[in-house]
Amino acid sequence: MPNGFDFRLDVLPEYKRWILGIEAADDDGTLAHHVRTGKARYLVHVECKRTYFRGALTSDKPRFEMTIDGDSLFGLVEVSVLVVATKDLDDYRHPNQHSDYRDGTFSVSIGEPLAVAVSQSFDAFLEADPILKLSSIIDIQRDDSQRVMQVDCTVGNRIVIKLPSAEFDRYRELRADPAIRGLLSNAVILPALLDAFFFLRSPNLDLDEFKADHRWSRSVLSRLDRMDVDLTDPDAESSVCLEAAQLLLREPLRRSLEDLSELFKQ
Amino acid sequence: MSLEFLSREPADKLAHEIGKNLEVYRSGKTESLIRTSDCRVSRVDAVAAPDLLDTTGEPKSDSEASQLVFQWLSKLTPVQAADERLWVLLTHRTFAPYVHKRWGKGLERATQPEALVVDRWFFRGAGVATFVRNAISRLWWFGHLTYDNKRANPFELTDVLLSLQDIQVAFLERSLGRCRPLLRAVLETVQTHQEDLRKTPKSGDVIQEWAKEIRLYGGAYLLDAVPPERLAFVVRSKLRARLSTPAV
Repeated sequence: MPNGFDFRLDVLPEYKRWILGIEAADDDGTLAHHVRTGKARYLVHVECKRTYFRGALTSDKPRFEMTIDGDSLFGLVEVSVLVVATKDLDDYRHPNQHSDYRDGTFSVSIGEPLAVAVSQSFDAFLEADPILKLSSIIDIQRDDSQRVMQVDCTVGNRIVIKLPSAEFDRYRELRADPAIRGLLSNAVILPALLDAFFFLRSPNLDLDEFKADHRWSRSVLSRLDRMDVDLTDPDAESSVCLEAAQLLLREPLRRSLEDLSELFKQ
Repeated sequence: MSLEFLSREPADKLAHEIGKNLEVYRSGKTESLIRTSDCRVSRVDAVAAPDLLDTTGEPKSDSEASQLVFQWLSKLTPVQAADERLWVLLTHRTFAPYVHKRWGKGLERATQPEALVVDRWFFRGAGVATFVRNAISRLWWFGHLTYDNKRANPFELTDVLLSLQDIQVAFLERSLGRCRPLLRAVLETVQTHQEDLRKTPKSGDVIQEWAKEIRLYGGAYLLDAVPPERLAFVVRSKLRARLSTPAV
């Protein structure tokens, strides 16, 4: 029989996870009956060679979701959907089986597929470099002469954040606590990046010359380029700065709120 | 303290110049190939690196080294652990003496020394074998794939995996090894039959044949869909059958 078993795949990337929405075809009465009676289940099988990932999930419903940690996938991901036997079937037959088999029946064991859809794949992109620490382009310094936080992105290879003494001391104390990294990122790094990004959009700036002398700008612009964000496009709205900073910091608002939720739970 | 890594371009250049630097790899002075300005700070927190050499200056066993590296980088994610830039700096600089002691001797007798350097000092290639070839990444991945905190000794299966090199080659260098329930069943079976395997004259051949039979089984069944108890039974039965088959 021609294989009509197919599935629809929706990939929803979230900050901390990938959600794969599966909608398997359920118009084959025989297969659907076996699933309904508990003799078979739909199964999604996911493999990512780049991260050695392999996982599977079964469902008795044709529509279901599989959630995978965001840190587990990168690059090409192959998704297969099958109907697999969940009980040993001694006399399995399909009304549309190939005429060569006539009315023959088959012994099917647990784990054997009853239907296999053509595999699909998607590219699990990374929003940011998975290992580069953003702070390597940011230098936070104590500056007794400041009354409020100042940012200087023109002095060298890093964006320099100058904090008044008391704030610097408190920052240094707090940054060791992983529970509030999102909050600190929002309070200190986000405004500094915004300041620097607005500077990069200055109409009179010789961008090529500036990039040659300031490594942070080369690093940031190439990372944003990979995320399809053109910070220096003169036609872009100024909101591009906020968007770019949030992308680089991997959803700082969400992380801050999660930090706060956790703190309140404690 | 944050772990450092080598930037992409210098890492590529280093790989390009393996032939030119073969003598450096033979001498073990690979740290001299790394410029500090080519290193970057990563977002991976790590304390001081463990010593992978024993008091006599010899490499610690793979099992001990695997535990040390995995515990040291326990927060590494699979995406980060698949990034060459980390491993290249660790093999060339952080653990240069260990890598030289563990793999450097092979350079003297290798017919293709460049290939050995690629395998052990770099992390190149799209195949699953890449993960378990790099001198340091293999130690981390062995730990990652076998660590089980529900056991009294969470590294019990790591020890089993590293007790026979054929197990690594037969299972971890193939896509089969990515199936965690299967890997667990295989290692628990080896653990049960460790003594039998030790007594078998050609245990390597037995493991290779056993792995082949499991691959054939995996061609007909979706291993991830087979209940763990049945999978364990199948894996066990196939090894017992192999062990009772006279060697040819």
